[in-house]
Amino acid sequence: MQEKAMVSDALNTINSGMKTYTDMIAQTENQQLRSALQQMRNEAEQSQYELYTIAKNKNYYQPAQQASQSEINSLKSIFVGSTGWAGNSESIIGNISMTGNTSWPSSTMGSSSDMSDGTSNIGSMPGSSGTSSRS
Amino acid sequence: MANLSEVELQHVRHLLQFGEADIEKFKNYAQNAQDSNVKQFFEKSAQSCEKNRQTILQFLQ
Repeated sequence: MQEKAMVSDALNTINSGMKTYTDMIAQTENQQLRSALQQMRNEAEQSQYELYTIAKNKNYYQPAQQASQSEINSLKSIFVGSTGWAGNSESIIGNISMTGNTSWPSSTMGSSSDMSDGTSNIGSMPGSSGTSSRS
Repeated sequence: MANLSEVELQHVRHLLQFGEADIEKFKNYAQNAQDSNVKQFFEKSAQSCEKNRQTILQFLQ
């Protein structure tokens, strides 16, 4: 087996393990087991970044391209300033108090979570879905 | 360290099963890696998996 393939598989294994630990922590009430799982997840994160760095330095892994300034500005124009929804927060809040709709904070959290996925592909090798048989 | 729910016991079982496979995988990769950094990483990972396995085993005592 080529070293590149081993590194790729190891990255996928660690990535999968991090997800597994996170899912398990959420379902674990036993405080000792919970702490042990959290410790393992934290170590897995450090380990994943270490291997990602090795893979990048050896050109086994091609990181995602940097976003262009125009793409950043485009996103900024949607979420920052008077034209974005943040600028209309008063009217949104007004709608909530009028309609009693309490679902929007959840969807806001969802958006925030989606955005954080931009970093979750670190270490996912090209051609890899980042999924594993463990899930 | 008992007092585990059914779900928690299932997690322990899962971790022990996959943990063993990971130990063997990283040991095998360490033997076959060319680069010293990569080899060292796999050796360290095998040790880490073994340590985790021992930690999880304590929950069955």
